[in-house]
Amino acid sequence: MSVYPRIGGKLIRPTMGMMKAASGLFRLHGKVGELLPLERVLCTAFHKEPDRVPVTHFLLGAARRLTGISYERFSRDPEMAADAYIAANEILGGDVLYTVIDLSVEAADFGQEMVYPQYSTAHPEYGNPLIASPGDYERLEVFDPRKSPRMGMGIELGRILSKKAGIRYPVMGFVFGPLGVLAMMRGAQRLFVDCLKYPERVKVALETITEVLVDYVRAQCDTGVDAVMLDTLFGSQSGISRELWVKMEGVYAKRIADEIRRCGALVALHNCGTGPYLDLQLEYMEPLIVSLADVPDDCRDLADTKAKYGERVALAGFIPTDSLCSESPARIMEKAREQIRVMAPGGGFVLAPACEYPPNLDLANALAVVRAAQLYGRYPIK
Amino acid sequence: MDDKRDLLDAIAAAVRRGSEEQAVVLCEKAVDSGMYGREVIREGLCTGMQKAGELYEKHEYFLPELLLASETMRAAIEVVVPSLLPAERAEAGEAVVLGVVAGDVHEIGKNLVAVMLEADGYRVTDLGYDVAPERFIAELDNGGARILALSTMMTTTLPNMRMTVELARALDPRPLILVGGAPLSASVAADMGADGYEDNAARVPALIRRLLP
Repeated sequence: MSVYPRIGGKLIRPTMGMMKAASGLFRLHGKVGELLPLERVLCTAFHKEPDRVPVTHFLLGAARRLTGISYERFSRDPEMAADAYIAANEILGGDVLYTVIDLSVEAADFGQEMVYPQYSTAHPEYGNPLIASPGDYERLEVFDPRKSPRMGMGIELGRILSKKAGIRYPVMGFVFGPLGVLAMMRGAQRLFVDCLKYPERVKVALETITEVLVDYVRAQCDTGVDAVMLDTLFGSQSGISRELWVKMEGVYAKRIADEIRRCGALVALHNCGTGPYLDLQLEYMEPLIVSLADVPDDCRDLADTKAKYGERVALAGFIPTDSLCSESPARIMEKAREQIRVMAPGGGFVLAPACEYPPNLDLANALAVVRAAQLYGRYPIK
Repeated sequence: MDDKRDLLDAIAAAVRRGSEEQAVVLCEKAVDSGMYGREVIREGLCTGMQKAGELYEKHEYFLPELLLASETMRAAIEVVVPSLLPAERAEAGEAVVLGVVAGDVHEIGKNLVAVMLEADGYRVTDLGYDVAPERFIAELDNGGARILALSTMMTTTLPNMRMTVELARALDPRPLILVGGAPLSASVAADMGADGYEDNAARVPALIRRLLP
């Protein structure tokens, strides 16, 4: 059971208007008392100042270390993954629960051979791509993600986390964007070239993938997750051009985002590229909240990003991965404090690492991110 | 003279646009006309690749366009290589040993660095991906290269990069060691003992020119 009731088997969710109204009440409550993470995040998503800046440590694979399970168990057993995620929030703090396992979940169920390393993230066997030649794009077939092993696990993880989170934490489902999924089956280098040389063939595969992903987010939403996060990795200057992104992902990602909304869940977005095309992504997916690693391609810095986009969408980020790997917890807290100062006034900001917390890194910097929000993120921001 | 210049310009333009078929036909024409192979490579193919790199730096090209240009250059070089004279073959640029460190298989960045270096006249030994530290060292020993370039895209393999840098330094302090990849920054690179860091493949040749005496 998620927090949402079912009538005749159908999940009943509040409308956007109801959530917006509730966020106003939470804002008032936040002035006199401490909010639950779900309330805090909802306030933020609707651009109201909660009690403090919400925070996520973005522990994915690293969370397994808190419950002492192997990477493979984390990657394949939804109960164990759920326990690890909840332990991460209970031990370190954090206001969001994710259902992200890794970026090859979807590709694996299309038939891509996988590798499950002992101390690293599961990934495709790159030496044996499912799409070995341009002629293979047409070979992909539609299937039911509920009956497939890895996407089935993603759905089950959403169900378990929604039940365990109750009204405390928001649960965010996850889906890798169609072009990212295809890269996992073809190899990014080959795919990029194919997008220019054989665009119509690539689009055949993207159609098939999108049909499955639309069904996948529908199944995730039915578990009671509050939001689903779409990852559009290549929609940035470190990926492909703006024009190519629209043709090769934007139009497909839009269908997935529309389905999430149709199911009554919130649309979130993650893009950890350099110079993300935020304007395009807002146009095509209309997310309520966007997690970024870098400032958008049309912004100079964080302050400019806040000025340009702060009222259109809630933003999450921006603690750089390389800083997490190399700098002290004290320095991370300084960085976080500065980001809070620039981004948090008026609400609409979640403090977070730019991308997944490095799986094997000491957890002190994850704690530093959380502590910074708790110490420096109290509204009104000083 | 004008015909020759026009042909080299056309070859460069074909590489920049990623028109493989056209680049191959034009290179065949250049070779058949008696043009020196090294000249075709340097002033036609490499110039085209460098132009593509410049457009990438200006965000007018992105990874797909740059990769297509590099494929075009490689395909066209195959046409020219058989025509190289013995003296041209002996003309060797500075040697670079390049690869993705152990445990990592992401090689787009590394491949682009390889082609940008080749376009700039370097002699690149590309060891591929998931390369053990010992293989890098052995290749440096065997080939006498003065430059070692390492890449990784994952935080989980950063320790392997550090290990490779430390081993290379311990055995021979002389090689110039460059690193690159998503989880790195100039400070991370310096901290692991590397001499240089670059986040843009097109700028790696310039970085080497700055650092190498």
